[in-house]
Amino acid sequence: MPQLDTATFLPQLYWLAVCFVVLYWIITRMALPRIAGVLQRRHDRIANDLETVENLRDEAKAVLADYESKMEKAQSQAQAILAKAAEESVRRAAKCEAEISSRLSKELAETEKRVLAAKNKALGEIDQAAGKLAKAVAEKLVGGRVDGKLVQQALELDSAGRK
Amino acid sequence: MGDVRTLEEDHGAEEQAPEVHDLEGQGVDSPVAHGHGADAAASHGAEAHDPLSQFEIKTLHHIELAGFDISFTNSALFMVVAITAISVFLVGGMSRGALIPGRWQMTVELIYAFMADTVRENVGEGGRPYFPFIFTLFLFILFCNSMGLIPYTFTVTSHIIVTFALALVVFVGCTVIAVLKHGIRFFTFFMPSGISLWMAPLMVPIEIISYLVRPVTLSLRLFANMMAGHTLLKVFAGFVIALGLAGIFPLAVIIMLYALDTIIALLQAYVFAMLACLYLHDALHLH
Repeated sequence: MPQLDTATFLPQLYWLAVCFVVLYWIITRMALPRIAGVLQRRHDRIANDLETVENLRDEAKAVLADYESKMEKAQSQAQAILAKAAEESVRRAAKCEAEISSRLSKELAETEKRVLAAKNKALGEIDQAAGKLAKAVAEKLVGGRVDGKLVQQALELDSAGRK
Repeated sequence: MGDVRTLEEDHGAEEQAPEVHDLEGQGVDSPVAHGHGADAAASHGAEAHDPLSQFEIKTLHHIELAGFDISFTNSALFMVVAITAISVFLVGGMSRGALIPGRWQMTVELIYAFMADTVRENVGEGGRPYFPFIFTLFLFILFCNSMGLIPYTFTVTSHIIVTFALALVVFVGCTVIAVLKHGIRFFTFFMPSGISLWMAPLMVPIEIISYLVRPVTLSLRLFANMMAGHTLLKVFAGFVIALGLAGIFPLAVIIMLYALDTIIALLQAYVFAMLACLYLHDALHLH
């Protein structure tokens, strides 16, 4: 077995030591700093990007909050305008109604007064006509003159009895 | 030195001369059989089918330092290729350093994140300083394992001395960290909590042995997996040639084995790194 040939041990060990030390030197001096540097830069970049994203998100949040508050204000304003308009219209409607009803009641009262006057007048005429008629009927029955005052009294009694 | 052969000799000579630098032996039709390959080395062709020949260490360039042999071998070559590939993979993948990664950069980042998670979950608190080591260990074993699956390459981690050295670094490192962090209290690690005192003579030796055997199991696991997979592939490859047309069946087996070996190559790298994390956890938190 060539592996047990002790004469080859020393050159192998010597070159193993040389190669391993050289490789260790190359790795620690050249390879690892580069790899670590790249990884560090990538890590920094990602952290930086994340921070930017965070900032942008905060900004977006602020904008959204601003928009929402403005929206809310506008809505409440619109509500107020609407309420005012409704109130105004209600007030005007009430005023109109009051005006109309007062006019109507005035007219009604006037009409009632007129009707009452016409009625009184008609009743007076009826009473006069009835008095004349009754006097004439009584004169015819009695065949003489009848005192107008008696007839009037009898009629008033009668109308009072009818009432 | 007898088994270490130069590559030129491998190409130039059918028969291997026992002496590496004996250039006179080159080209000479010497009947002297080569070291361990004696049974299979009757001809160059036969030797190529030896399932173990792929693990041979071949010297590419002889170097000697203060009397010690530190030759540049095929193993060293593939270690250099592996660390070059890892460096290109990591540095090239991150060269643009894009905020939004491409496929290549994504792969690098995924492996990084995967190992970072493994360390965080298995080592726990205080594991961060050791992440570069675990990351290096994982990538080195991963690339050595998976590059060894390419035909004609050499698998560095199929040698016990390499895996043992890596395991020993982890073991000694963890022990030193534990002693520095906890001082004398480190030895309470060998006395499991909630065990009555009269059990101590039994439990403490068991705990000490299981602790000391860690580098052995850690290195053997990786080495055995790598070597077994590659040997099996080579054995079935031999069947493909030997069976002719019927070789299609061992070929199908090779395809499945190759898939299995790919999984094992990735998994063993992870297992090695994760166990290193667990040992580190023990060192930092004792229990």
